[in-house]
Amino acid sequence: MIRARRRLLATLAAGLLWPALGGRRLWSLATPASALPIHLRLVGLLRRPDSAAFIGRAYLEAEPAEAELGRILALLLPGRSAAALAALPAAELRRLVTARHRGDFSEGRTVSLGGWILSRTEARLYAVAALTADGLSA
Amino acid sequence: MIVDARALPQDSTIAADIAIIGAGAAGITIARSFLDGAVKVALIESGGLDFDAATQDLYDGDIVGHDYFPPTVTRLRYFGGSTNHWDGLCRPLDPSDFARRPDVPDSGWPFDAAHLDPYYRRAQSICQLGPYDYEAAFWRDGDVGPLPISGGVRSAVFQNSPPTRFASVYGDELRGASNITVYLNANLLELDTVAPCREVTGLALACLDGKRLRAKAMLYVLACGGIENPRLLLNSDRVATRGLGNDNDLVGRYFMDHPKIWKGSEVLFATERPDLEFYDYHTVRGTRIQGVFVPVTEVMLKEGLANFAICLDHASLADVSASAAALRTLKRNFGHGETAGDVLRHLARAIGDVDSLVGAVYDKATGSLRRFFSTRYWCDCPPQRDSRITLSDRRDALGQRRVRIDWRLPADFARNFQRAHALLAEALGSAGLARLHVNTAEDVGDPIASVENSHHHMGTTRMHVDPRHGVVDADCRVHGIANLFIAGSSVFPTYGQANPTLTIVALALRLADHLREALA
Ligand SMILES: Cc1cc2nc3c(=O)[nH]c(=O)nc-3n(C[C@H](O)[C@H](O)[C@H](O)COP(=O)(O)OP(=O)(O)OC[C@H]3O[C@@H](n4cnc5c(N)ncnc54)[C@H](O)[C@@H]3O)c2cc1C
Repeated sequence: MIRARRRLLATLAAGLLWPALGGRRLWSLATPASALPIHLRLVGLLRRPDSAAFIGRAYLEAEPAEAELGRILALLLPGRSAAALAALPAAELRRLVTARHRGDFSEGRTVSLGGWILSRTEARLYAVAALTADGLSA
Repeated sequence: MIVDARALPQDSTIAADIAIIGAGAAGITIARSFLDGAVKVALIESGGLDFDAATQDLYDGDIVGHDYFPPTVTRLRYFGGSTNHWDGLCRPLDPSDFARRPDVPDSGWPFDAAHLDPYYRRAQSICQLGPYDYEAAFWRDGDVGPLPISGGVRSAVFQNSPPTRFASVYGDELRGASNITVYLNANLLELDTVAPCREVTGLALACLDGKRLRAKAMLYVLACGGIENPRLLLNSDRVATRGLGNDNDLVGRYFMDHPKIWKGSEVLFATERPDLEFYDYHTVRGTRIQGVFVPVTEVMLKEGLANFAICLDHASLADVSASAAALRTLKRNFGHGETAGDVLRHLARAIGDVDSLVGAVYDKATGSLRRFFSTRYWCDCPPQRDSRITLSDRRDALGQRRVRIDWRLPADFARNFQRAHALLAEALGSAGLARLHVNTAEDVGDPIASVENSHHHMGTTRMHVDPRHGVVDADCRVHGIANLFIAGSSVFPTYGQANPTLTIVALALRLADHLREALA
């Protein structure tokens, strides 16, 4: 029991001490951001898309109807086409996601994943990371 | 003066202007209000100066209904009462706790919070607290302050009494007072009356060694705590056959306590070492305080929620791994050998990522496990008629029927618990600070099933201007009985999330003023 706890402590500590930018990039750093499709640009906002994808898979299991990239993008930032979003400068895209994420919490647009209460927007962002990592299929 | 009642002659009579039964926070406060005046006070206490098992056993009783700490554990029966082991957490009731809520039957006090303000101010110093201010902003101390949250919850504070042991702190004053006599080891058995029960005519007292005594006074104050006050009224049934003051079958009903849930949720902060000193016990300008989260009144009223408080405790690894496991269970195909720790690491990184988009300012990354907290939740419950203290068929060493505690939780308790945590999750999430995991039966065991009472015994002689709805009137006088008053939390008709003792002391000061007028 004590050994199991120690192992868990070590796992947690290792995770927490990971450098902030230690995540795996899904595309070449040389590619200009604006040339990327919107889902890659969204995933590019995340420093650790692998971890996001991990949570995103749990979301897609709870919401299988959203396990399609076009649909989830439409839900993530409604009212804007993928093309319009792709044309946005990075700072503006970041601002949009941020505003919607905050708005979700203040307006109660949340989702409970195994008891974890997340904003719909972040859960969908994680789901985009999952779909991207898994080759765009659910 | 302090007298051991066992040394008095058999069948002797104690005479005073005011007889106060019970020397806890309430009884001692009222007695002290008459220090060195002309009014002769008898403070009659069951116990001695120290704990004694035989005396404590007089408190034993039966538990039915929801689990409750044994009646011998949830209070202490000797000089100073339960203040001999209280924790000292203090806060006045909120203004909304005094108001009648249309959605809560039987709610509301006969007066508003402002009426009690001057007494609360005086109670602060009796409980050895700091300034009478419970707004979070007042207690900001440099960098240590409330989190910048908005939405359905806000920060508030509890002040910490040392905690005041009333017998030790005020015992010498009482010992030296010329007009006050404390009678130790004297148990009230029954309040005497004659038909038609319009006044108390005397007290029947007994010591555990077999000695019998009587007491006679102009005014009587029952101050034996929220479980014993109704027990004594119900046991006083020789003339008033349903129990004294119980014409309307209210004595012992509406029994309330603060249901408390330890580890109701885990909070995972987006950054390591979040600035949460405000929510830990700490000292500001000489006063020890702790920040908590409470509902924004408008949201609470609009959503019909219970008043609640949530505080943060450092989470153990076991708590954290249980909440991570919840996510792992949900996602079956995580099963590539990931541990609960792996799941949590992913979650921590993901939310840290999204919250860094928001630009969280709470980044003091020093590399520690101090980003996980668990919550402690407690709340008020609406007054419920069937939650009650009655008499058991078992009798104590003095031949008195013991208590039977039937504590009930309201039907919407679980909903309130979930909603309170959702509101906290929303507030912390919208500020980019943290995510919260609410425990359910599936992961750590049902938190609702682990509800504990908080040793705050309230409501059993509730206050209401109308005798059909309350045992005591707005002056704490038992309806229909000219000279009997009740002190303590048994008079609370509704109670919010604040611990009761500060309000008990404030009401005791107010009652003392009233007694002085009544004697004049
Ligand atoms: C573990 C614990 C922690 C607590 N922590 C807090 C806290 O942090 N904050 C807070 O506000 N409150 C707290 N409380 C509650 C607090 O102790 C009570 O609210 C307070 O003591 C009540 O004061 P009282 O005078 O009404 O009753 P008591 O303090 O219970 O005093 C009643 C007195 O009556 C005497 N008595 C009883 N029966 C008879 C009889 N038949 N004849 C003569 N005398 C009798 C008893 O011996 C006792 O001395 C806590 C309680 C416990 C048990």
